Amino acid sequence: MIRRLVVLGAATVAVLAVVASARIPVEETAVAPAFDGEVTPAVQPLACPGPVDIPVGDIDSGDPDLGSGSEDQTYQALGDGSEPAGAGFLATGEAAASVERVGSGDVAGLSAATCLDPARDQWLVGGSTALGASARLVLTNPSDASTEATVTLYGGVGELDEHAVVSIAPGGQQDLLLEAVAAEVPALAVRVVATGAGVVAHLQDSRLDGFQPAGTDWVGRGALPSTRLVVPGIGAPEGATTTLRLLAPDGATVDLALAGDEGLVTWGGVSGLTLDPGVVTEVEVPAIASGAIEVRADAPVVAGAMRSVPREVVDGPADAVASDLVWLPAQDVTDGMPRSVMVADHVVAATVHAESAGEFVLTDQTGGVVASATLAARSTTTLDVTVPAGTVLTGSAGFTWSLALADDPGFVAALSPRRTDIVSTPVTVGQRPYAGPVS
Amino acid sequence: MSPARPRVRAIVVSDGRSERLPEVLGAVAEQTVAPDSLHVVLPAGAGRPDVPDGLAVEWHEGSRTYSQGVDEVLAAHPAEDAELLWLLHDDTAPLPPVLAQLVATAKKRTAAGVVAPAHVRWDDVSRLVSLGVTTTRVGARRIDLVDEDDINQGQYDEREDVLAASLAGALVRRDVWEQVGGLEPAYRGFGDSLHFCRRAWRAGHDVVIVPVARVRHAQDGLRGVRTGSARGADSTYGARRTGEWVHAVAWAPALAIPLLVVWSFLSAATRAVLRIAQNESRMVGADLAVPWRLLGRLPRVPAVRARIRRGSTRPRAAVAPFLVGTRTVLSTIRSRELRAYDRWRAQSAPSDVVRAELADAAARRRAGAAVVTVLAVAASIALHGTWLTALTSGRMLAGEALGVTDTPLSELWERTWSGWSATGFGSAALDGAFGALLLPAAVLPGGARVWIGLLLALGVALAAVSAWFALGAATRSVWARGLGALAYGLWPLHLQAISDGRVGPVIAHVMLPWFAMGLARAAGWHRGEAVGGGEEFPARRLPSPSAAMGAAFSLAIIAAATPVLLPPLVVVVAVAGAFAGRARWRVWTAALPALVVSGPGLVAAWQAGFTRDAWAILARENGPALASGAVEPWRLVLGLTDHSRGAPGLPGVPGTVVVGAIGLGLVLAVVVAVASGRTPRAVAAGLLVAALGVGTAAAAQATVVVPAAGYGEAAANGFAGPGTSLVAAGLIGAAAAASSGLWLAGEGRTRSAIRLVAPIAVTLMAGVIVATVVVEAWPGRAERGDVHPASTEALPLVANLEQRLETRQRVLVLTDTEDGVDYTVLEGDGTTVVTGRAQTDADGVPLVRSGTSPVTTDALAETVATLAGAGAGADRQLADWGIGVVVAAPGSDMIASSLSQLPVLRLIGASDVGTSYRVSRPDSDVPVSRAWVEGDGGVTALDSDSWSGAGSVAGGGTLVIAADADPSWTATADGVALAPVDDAAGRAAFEVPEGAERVAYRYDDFSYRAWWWASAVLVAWAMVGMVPLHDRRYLAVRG
Repeated sequence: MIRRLVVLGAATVAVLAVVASARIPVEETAVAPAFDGEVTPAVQPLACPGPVDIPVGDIDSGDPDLGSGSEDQTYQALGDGSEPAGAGFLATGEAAASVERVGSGDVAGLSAATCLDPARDQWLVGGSTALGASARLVLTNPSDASTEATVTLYGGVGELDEHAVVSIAPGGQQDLLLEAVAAEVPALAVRVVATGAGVVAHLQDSRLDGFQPAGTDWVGRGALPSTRLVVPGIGAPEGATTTLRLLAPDGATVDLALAGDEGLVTWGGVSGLTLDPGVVTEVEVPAIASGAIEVRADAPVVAGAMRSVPREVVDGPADAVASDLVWLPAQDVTDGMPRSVMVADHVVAATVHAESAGEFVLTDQTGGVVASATLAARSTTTLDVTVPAGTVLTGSAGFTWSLALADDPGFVAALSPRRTDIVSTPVTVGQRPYAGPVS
Repeated sequence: MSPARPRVRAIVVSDGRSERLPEVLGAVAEQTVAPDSLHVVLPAGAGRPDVPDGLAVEWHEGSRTYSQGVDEVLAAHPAEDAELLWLLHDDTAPLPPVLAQLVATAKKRTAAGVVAPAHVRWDDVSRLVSLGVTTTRVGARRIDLVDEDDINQGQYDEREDVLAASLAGALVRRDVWEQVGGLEPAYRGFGDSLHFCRRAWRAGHDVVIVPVARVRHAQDGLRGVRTGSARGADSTYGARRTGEWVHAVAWAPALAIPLLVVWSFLSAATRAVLRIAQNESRMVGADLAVPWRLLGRLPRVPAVRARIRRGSTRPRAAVAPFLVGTRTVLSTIRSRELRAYDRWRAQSAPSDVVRAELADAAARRRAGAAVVTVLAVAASIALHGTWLTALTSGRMLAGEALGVTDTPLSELWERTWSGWSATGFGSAALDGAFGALLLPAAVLPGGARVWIGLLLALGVALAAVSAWFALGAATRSVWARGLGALAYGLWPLHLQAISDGRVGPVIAHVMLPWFAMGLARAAGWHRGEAVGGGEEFPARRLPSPSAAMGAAFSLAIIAAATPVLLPPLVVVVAVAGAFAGRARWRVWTAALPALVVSGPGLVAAWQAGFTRDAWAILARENGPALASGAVEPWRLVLGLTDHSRGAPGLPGVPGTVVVGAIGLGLVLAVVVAVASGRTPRAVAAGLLVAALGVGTAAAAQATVVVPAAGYGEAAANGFAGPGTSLVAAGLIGAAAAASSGLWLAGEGRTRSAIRLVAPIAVTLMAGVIVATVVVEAWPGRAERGDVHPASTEALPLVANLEQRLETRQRVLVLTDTEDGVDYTVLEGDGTTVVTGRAQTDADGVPLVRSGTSPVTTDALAETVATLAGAGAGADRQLADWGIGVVVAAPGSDMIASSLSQLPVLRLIGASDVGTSYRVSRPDSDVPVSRAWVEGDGGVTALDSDSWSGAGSVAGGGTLVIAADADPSWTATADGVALAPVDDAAGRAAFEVPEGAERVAYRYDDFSYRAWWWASAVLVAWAMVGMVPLHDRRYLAVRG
């Protein structure tokens, strides 16, 4: 009997142990937070891409009207301490720019590029590889170390499988024809992720309409994905068309607004626009004399606008129309930092957008006021700029603006200002054991 | 000797502590030839015993030693012609004819100085005690010329001349006694007869033994009766052994004396080890004390030697024929052993029938062991065969929790010896048990890579084979043993531990059966071989001291591997000891080495008080650790994890059933065992152990044992595996014990039912086991853990070389992440966990340094961020902490390009194991080093290892050690201790005075060292003690 009790007692204890053990409170096993550091990159020179290339090359047909090249060509490179980098150049100082006027041929038009500092991650919203269009990506490495850039393309169907990896030597430059990477993409957005100090990316967008030039311009770096963007300088003469190009890396719903000199302008059907992840979406912008597009999204987006200005063809077929185009990158309105730009030839005006009411002042490098205006919230204005080329203009913080360039016979271009402060980027630093390469 | 009848003066000297004196006097009275006079010397104040009628006794008082007593009598009585002294002790009773026989011989052998009788047992005159003595040529070993307790059949009656004999009961010529000067006091009573006889020989006299004259000798002095010791002859062992050494130094050539003293120490050490192996732990002290006692007596030796020199007329060679050589010594020892063996065999010899049955059982057992081994190895190969091939091809096993396993011996040794954990910037370690545990793996050919790899790859086989042996203590059924062993080897959480690379729990699972077996045998609870109709052979199983030592050793291993098992197993030992009867102390000592090995942890837990922190310390993970999901206790009983997956192709069967099949089978078996009521105590014990296991596992998994102290580090909770190993052991043990003798259980219909059901149950369980292997090894089934074969080259060779140089540079490894960079500071070729954790609290402070705020590698986070952004100024902090090489892991292009931009980093190599950059010391050409002296004359790097270093310096300055400023760092300049100074970065720093030439530093933690030695001694003791030397055989004879 006692023997039996011993066993049953032990069995009871065992069952009780199982029941009681369930009541032990469990401590959470957490991962300690990582260190949130900031990376302040060293000041790097600015880089400009250099002259535009003729996509088909300089073909001399004997008839100046049919040749792809041009005799009438001026190239202006502005910046301190310029030194060559491939076809382009490097400059120190707060701003530098290049402007090129090609009077005839395939790439006729004004092409302006703001020289930029290298970035590890940048988005260029613009370009096309459709038939008749050429997109030439120019990657310049102004730093002292070689870098490797990964170019990812986005189109109307989302992120494309085709991508390219380009190594750029210190102080070197590499061209990449995007039509060779992914042809027949009518609306492109390009993301360039580079190692090290990063890379400067410019995209030459050149188009032909049959035998007629349809415009050439440099697509500059736009704002990084953000929920509040503004594209200033939308104003266009009669007959011009403006297209807004949008992309949300992870998808977003955006509200678009068009601000004019008198405040917001009605623009139907563009609120609650849904962007699929990675899909490039184009929206036609109503014609307006002077204005800016406001983009407000619930998730980060990138944007850029293209204006195409037609002109009559002299000495051409009767109904032939040539045109020039200008790319206007979006600017982030949330950073609240002042921006600067180098004035070049053909600059005619500054187009300004105010997110909130205030006075916008444009000063030169000596601090002298070049132009100023008082703006109401969410309105725009156009200021004449008559300073000589080589002047560095700095605008008030909190406004978005750009310089408009124009020349006969209907050539247009724009120069976007750049932030001159050193942008530090957040970096998460954690500790992790290392047992060798992952095989 | 004169032909006239000699005069015999009988002298009995008593120290008053023997009760046999009246009987001695009676024996003298009964002599056929009475002595001419009888003197009894008593200590002062002692009562006089009854004297037989008619016996004339002359009483003397006041002697302190035997020799003085005799001299006192002689002083009172002038010497007479041909006077013979009959020297009797108060525990020697001569048989009636002895004196007549001795006197007859004395008359015949005129040259005899000593005529000695044979000594027989007090209680059995047919058993010999002593019949002449000799010694070796060296003289340090006394050789009895008869085996103790030999039956006297007259086989020695021819013996006459001997080197020596006991003087007790011997006739000694008075002139010889006086010439020699009595007994030599330097012997303190043990060995003086031999000395006296040898001197008699050298002085020109003979020593003659008379085998037919028999004196009963109780050996009260030798057996400790006089001192009241309960330990018998053992109590005088030290004194006797010392006497032998005194003899050696007294008679050896003078030049050999230092050699003999050294030899005595060596001999004592050897004998001490042998004593430990024989589990005569009390004799260890006696043996170790012998050389010291010899040293104490050395001052008296010159006088002894002078007396020998003066009194010798015969040359040394005269006694040489009596001395024995090595061969005789060996044969003496062998015959002693054989005698013990014979007596054991005589006591426990099986009958012929039983012998045949035992042979059958042995054949069955051997076949079973072979089959289980083959199956278990096959299961291991099925599960982890790829690891084995990888190990053969020179790769190692690695994993997130496991780290790298190609750990060199030096790294393991430095870690366990110094107590300084070199991980990160280093920290004071709680204990070094885990590193010491894996030390043998690094010593064996192939190194830690092969043996840790084999431990994991063959973990299933090792556990199964261990369990097979252990289950032999619970059941003699080959089927139950085999199934139990395989079930234990394939215990799901054991498989999980193997796949996670949790080395500690794997070792614990393998060692647990050995511990259980040791405990069972230590208490004498193991089963005998089943013979006949349910009887066992041997019928009475004796507790085994060696097994207790084996259990102690196993428990120490388990405690080092998985500290969490110490509390439950100590409870098991304590309870087992309480039930172990006379073996209780042996059983209880089994916990001792483990408790000392875990000593620092226990102290730390004690200091933490009765809090959850204390439990976290007790349940600490010494080796690889990993966060795991906590599961309900009933799942623990089945060995399940929170991600137990189902079987491929059987989508309807839940993972609980698939993985927990073995556990379910065991629970069912135990339920049947409980219901059957068989072997109730064993089943109850198994259930209680399982209950302890469930509690331990649940409490362990509920506790964070590895805190996440540094940036981005992951915490780990305790692993439930070790606790469930106890569950498995308890359940399997209970089921196996209940199955013992099942085949013969019951009668009639019951027996037929049992014989029908048992094979079905066995078949089902075998099926479950086979299915488990198949499911676990199914191709394409997701791995349980992340252990994988990897190249032994974790870091680029250039980086690894710098770590091994005297400058002992650290390596910073950087890896790109989604939004930043991860880093780690490495001392060796990859993150090493198998050397053991330093053990820190939730804030990253070492447990042994609570209250301090040490510098950890967290201090590098900002520098790493700077490196990530290619910012300037990072090199200074890297050099300050002895980081000489920065490695960008392969595939981490972002960080590699950032590093490339930094002019202060120099690219030294790029390979498919990473890109390496050298860090230079700012403002100096001296390479980055672990320790250096910086002063006006520049920087001088010292040669270092992970915990110490030294080097020549020119001029003074500051000694900087690129390690946390732990209070246990010490430094010296030309042998003079240096004063520590504060270092802004929190490193260890010392002020070096001007003119110093050689600077040395080391980490010196006294309490760590004390624990280390205590653990080492106890574990070594247990290891030697568990050698099954004699053991049962001896016990049967002695006990």
